[in-house]
Amino acid sequence: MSDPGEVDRAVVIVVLKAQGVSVSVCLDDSTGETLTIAKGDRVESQKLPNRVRRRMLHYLQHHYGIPIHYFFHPEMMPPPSKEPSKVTIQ
Amino acid sequence: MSKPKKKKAKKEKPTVVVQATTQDGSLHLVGIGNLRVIITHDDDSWFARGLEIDYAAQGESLSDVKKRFYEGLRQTVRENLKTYGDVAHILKVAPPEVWMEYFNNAQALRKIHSQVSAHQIVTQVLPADLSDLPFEGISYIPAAASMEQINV
Repeated sequence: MSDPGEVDRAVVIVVLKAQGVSVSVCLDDSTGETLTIAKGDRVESQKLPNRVRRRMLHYLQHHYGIPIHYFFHPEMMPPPSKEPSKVTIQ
Repeated sequence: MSKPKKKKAKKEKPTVVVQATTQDGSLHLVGIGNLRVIITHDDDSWFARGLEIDYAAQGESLSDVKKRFYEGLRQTVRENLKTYGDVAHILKVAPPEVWMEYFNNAQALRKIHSQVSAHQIVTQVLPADLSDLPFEGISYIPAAASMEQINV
């Protein structure tokens, strides 16, 4: 049985994207798969292993404001809204 | 009897980040010096996190996590140069709990990280007059299924 404190990299990418984080995958022969993660004014590159551990999940939670339990239970994420976001101009 | 010599406290050097850019903005040299990094491990996983620059990497061994930290931070610098033209946005310190662990976790490794990287950023500028583009327009070709519907 896998460690409950770790999550598949694919799941992490799905959760990040579902929570409005831009994730692009870059494949490079020399460095392998690199993710470019961006939200707000933060842009960073990450080379995540296949299994992402709790410390890294906390790090992602801190920077991208994602509730940590979404990584362990992606089914708990609210479905994406079909309506366009409302903007109030004062 | 001679007095015992007082041990001098080891003075920590401050973290420095320098950026030099050519006049045309195409070549950047970025140096990061004396960045404090805490490295922890449990089972077969290693985790490195910077203090003065809040960047982290996970690896499968000590050498692997060091390599991922270096390479990831270098790429992060590059992405910031491409997006903003500078590295100001990465200059954010780690949250207090990481500093607490740095000073209190006896099992953690404390490292000083320095790196220098050169980045050539090519910015493609579209011609001001779109007629300079080698295209005359867009031709829309209906899909086969749509054609069948049109013919019916």
